Amino acid sequence: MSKVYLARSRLRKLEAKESLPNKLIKLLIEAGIEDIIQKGNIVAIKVHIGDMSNSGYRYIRPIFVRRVVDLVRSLGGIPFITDTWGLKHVESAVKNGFNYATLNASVIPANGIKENFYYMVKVPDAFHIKEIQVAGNIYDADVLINFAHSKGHPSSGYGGAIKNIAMGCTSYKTRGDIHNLEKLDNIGEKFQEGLVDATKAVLRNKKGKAIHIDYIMDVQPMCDCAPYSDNPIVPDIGIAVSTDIVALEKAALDLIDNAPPAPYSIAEKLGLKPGDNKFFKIHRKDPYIQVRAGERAGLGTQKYELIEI
Amino acid sequence: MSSKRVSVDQKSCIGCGTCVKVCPAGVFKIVNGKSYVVKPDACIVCRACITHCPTSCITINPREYEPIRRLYEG
Repeated sequence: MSKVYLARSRLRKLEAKESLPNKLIKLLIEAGIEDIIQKGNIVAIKVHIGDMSNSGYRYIRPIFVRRVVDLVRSLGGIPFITDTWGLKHVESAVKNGFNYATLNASVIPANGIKENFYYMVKVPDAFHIKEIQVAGNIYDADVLINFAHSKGHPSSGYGGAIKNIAMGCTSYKTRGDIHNLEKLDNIGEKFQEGLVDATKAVLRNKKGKAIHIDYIMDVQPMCDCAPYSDNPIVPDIGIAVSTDIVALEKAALDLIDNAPPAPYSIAEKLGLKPGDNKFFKIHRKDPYIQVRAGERAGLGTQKYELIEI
Repeated sequence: MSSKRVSVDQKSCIGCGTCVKVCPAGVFKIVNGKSYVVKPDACIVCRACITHCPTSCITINPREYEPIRRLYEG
């Protein structure tokens, strides 16, 4: 049984301490970030900084990333913000509101200006991909804060903490290897198992040095890389944190599936109800495949205790 | 040549062949000193071409996933 800490975005009282950015700090401390970051550690904060054409807008709001940066600095860590796709994506990040002025940390490419900085990491007992090109700056970082946005994805039904690492902390070659698995079935099974192979490789040198966050807000039907952001399929839920990536993803999916469909969304159009496997009904890909595969790969457990702060 | 999915701005393309080299899906081909999109539907949107292109002349549109597209028609 793993612990998943949840802060709901809904206010219990009209007080500043009830605001989600403030609760995020409490969440991270409850989840044990003080044990993960030692003074002097270089800390990678992996976020999806939005699409390259600056047309989508339902990605993680920079204010939340700023709070994490300030917390890391207060613990003596040296933070940087990072994402894949090279320097051109950093240019997109600046336009999307992720820059030193807003975040108090540098935004640098995860794997070099043209994605050629990586380490080959072997995956023991891989489902499909035996060697993963792990982004160099992620590999070299002492700590990984995996700050993911929970949302839909057409290849896997859902993308959250697992996908944020698998696609965002690797190279274009590995992304290609994972996407090529889509051709092997129509239900996203092999693709999601490929995501788990990559996640396992990235986390291999981060034992006790990684913490995972699912930002369950603006749960749009499609990936943050798409140049459009449709209305969220469920009302805003909040932010969940855990050191167990499998437990976290299971909890996030359960929270989304148990929520009512949001008005004016495609979930409403489809007539979805609380309890439905929403991403499966939207994308026809069962998102729980990646959770089960993650458990089988030894990345964590699906059994979780939800602790609301 | 361009397509709905992947396009190359021929005015900017210098025919260096980097996109051909980095693309894992064989989308591009150099013909008479310019890059042409020969297999647009093979694109998996890894964006390696965009990341590497020295003149930023490549554009990729999202893949058309049938299951979700049905929700935006009619």
